[in-house]
Amino acid sequence: MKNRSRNFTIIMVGLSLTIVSLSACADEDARVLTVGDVLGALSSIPERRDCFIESKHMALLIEPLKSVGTLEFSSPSYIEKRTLAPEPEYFAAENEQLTVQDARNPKPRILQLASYPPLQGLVTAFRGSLAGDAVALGKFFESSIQGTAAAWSLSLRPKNDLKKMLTSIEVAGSGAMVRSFTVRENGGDYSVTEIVPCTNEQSSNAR
Amino acid sequence: MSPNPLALRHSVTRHQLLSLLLFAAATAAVFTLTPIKTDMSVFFARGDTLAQRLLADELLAGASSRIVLIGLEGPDTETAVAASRALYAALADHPGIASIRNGAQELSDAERDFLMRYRYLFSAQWTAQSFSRDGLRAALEEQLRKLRSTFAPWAKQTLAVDPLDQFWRVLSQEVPHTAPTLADGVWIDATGRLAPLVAQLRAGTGDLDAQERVVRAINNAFDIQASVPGVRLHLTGAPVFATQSRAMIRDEVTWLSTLSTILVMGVLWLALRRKEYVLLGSLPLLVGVVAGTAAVGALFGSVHGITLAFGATILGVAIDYPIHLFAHLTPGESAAATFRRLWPTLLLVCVTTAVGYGAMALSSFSGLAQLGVFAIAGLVAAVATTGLWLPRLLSARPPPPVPRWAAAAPVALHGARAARIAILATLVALIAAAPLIDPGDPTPWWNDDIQSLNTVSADQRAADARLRGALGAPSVRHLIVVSGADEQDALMKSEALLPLLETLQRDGAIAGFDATARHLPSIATQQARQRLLPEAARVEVDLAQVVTAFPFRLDTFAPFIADLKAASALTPARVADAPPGVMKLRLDTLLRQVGDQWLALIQLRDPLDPARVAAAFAGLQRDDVVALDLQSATASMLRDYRREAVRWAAVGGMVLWLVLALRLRPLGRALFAALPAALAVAGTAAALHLAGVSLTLFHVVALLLVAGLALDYALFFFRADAVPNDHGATLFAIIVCAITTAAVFCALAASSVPILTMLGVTVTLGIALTFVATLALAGFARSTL
Repeated sequence: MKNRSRNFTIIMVGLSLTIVSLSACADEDARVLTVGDVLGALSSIPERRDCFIESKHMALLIEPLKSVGTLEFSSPSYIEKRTLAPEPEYFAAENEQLTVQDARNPKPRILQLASYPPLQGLVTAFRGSLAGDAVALGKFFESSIQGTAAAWSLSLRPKNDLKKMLTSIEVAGSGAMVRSFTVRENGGDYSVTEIVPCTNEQSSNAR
Repeated sequence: MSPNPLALRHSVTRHQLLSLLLFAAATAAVFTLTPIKTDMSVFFARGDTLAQRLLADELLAGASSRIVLIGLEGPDTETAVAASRALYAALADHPGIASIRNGAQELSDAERDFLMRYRYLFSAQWTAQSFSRDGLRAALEEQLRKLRSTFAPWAKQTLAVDPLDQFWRVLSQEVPHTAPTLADGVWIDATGRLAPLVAQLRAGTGDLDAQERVVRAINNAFDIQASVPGVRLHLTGAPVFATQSRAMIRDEVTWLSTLSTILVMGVLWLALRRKEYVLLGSLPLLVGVVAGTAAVGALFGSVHGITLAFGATILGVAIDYPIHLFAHLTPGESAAATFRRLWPTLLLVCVTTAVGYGAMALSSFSGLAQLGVFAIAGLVAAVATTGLWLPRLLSARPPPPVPRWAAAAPVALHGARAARIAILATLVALIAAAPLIDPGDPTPWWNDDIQSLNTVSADQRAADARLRGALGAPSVRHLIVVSGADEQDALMKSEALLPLLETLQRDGAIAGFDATARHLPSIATQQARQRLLPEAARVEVDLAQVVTAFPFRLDTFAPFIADLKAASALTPARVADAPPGVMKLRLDTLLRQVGDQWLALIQLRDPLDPARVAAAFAGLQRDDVVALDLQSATASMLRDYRREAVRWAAVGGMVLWLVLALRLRPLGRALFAALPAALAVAGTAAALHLAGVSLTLFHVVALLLVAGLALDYALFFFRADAVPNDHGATLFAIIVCAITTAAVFCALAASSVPILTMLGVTVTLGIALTFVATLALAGFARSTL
């Protein structure tokens, strides 16, 4: 008799423990993903060096425009986009200063982002999301999140004058990795910047 | 013999009352009918040459006279920005404000449409080649390149309608050359705590009342809408300074005249002891002021506030005449008889003083002329009052007010010979030392800087400089003014100068320029460009061919073709066609009508080389193109004024000396009469210089007054036909005169208006030296005469 009640207790305890741990696991999966989660994950990577493939879809074009290049990021305030083909362009933002240069204007031009609020917003979308900077993003955008930790989509809707031009900027990624940026304009035009790891050739082109 | 005292008093009283009432009525009439102006530039206006007229116009109605700079200083950027937004919202619709900007205010939609519509006519950056196949191909290549860049969303905005990018080129002319940094779309300075704003008023400083209303409105708006603890308002700019200056001058004039009246009455009471003398003693002065105002009003149409203030105090010398009369009254002699006795000397004094000031009335500077006329009319009226009216108002038997000590004084004067020689020697030494010693810095003899006459405080000037620095908007100093018979004529002449200006810019002689023609070309130019436009149908065909090599959709550029067709049919634009806004304001500032001429202005930007600019425009040898340097033009105007004043003063002095020499027959006597004046004037000038004060125009005028006063004292003292014991009365009269005048000018010296301070200090010093010199010389005169 004693043996049977002891066994029963063990089984019950074991069962409850299992149920508790199982439900805990389930909670983890069932718990809703927040913007903070994603940004937190993103902020864990202070340096990024990737390549991108950008494709712009415009109503006035019969086919999308494609370009490739490198995207460098250094937390919290440096982002550099270097387009390699077909039209070289250098576009780098350090804090509030933007430096641009292209083949047509070989001398680098320096602009103060604060003087161009829409541009400031656009740069913040890219830089802020890569840095996981909720405060910076919050100044320009309303954020909302969809999906799971393994496949999330952060939607940024502009609050200021930028909304006269853009509808939203969607950042899609997985865990702490960003897979793509999609910029949607008010008229329906959109551009997709896919982030891909650089092949050796692409890396050496970037130097 | 003695008439019924009651009857006499009765008739005198009735006449008295009548005459006083008449005088009161006349005063009221004169001051109601004569407008009083307080604008400094009216004071200086001369209007001889075109350049001077332009200068006056620019100072009164030009852009610089209408800009108010506002600064909101807060503890941090957010507060400053919020205050700036609040103030902007409060003032944006004010009727007295033509425009207010606090950030990168974009051009309105109407303005953008206007520029878009007229872009081919306004832009010089396209040719017929731009529409050829090669031209179109190059344009499309450029557009595609821009679409590939990160700035694509912006480039796309006008791509379909303007692939040749003419709109952006025209638009860039309307963007201000330098703009401050932005924080949240609002201007902020380098420290991040001062948010500057710029407001342009509709009225120029020619209409100070309107400007004052707007300045008050700005202050009210700040108090109501934008005043948060910790936020300070700074207001600078010509309208602010001009209205403040006027208010200050008004206040000063009011309180100084009150103070002067009290002081004069106080001294007269202390000296003469009968309230009759006190009241009547002020009468010649009052009559003089009214007469002076009436004369200036009749001749010039209005009186300037400074003329009134200065004139009224210069007529403080008119207190001297009744004092002389009262001091010399003797029992047994009627007042009228006393006056007849004094008349020769009084006449001489009046004539010499009038001559001294009268010289100024002949000047072509309206300010000096007004002063001259005021002084002459006032002095004549004062003497007439003293001689003709006062005796009738004095009661029958006035007791003599001369105190006993005064009667005994002349004896004392003969003694103390050594002391008197020492005093004179000191004076002469002072005068001799002045040209030799430089008190340091160095101190030039003359100061022609208009800033020294300004009532603007150093604090305000600093705030102004700070705001201009924050806005990147230096004050406009160098202008080229082109005059034409009508709007288009002026515009075409201005256009013709563009190549020269561009060359100057390329060569570094000027940093840049802004001309009407850059915003709106003349009709002739617009029509010439219109004729160059190709046929839309032809371009459509060519474009269809070129587009096939690009990823553009075929129908993308339909708006471009439609616009081209419309442009060929446009009526060229005039200034009146521009929609209201920043651009229209700029056009109105740079192109305006003055009298029967139209002026097109070209503003030159610093840093520039004034010599090369002047040479370039002088080389044109055209009298319808004038290069103005506002700052040096005002400085040289002041210098001319001063030279003129000195010249006329010298002339006046010589005529005065001639009159003296003719009247006082032994030449030695005339010399003695003039010597105290000469010593006093030279001594005052020397003392000021040694004290580190550079003399200005107003010091010159004050020295003139000193000369007049000195002459008055000296002539009375040295008059040959002295009644025994009369020197006591004379001495007493002179002392009272000196004290009353000194009291009034001491009050002036305490003023915050620089001009009035200069007058006050100079005359006070002059009187002291005059007194000393007259008394020191008196002893010698008696012994030699």
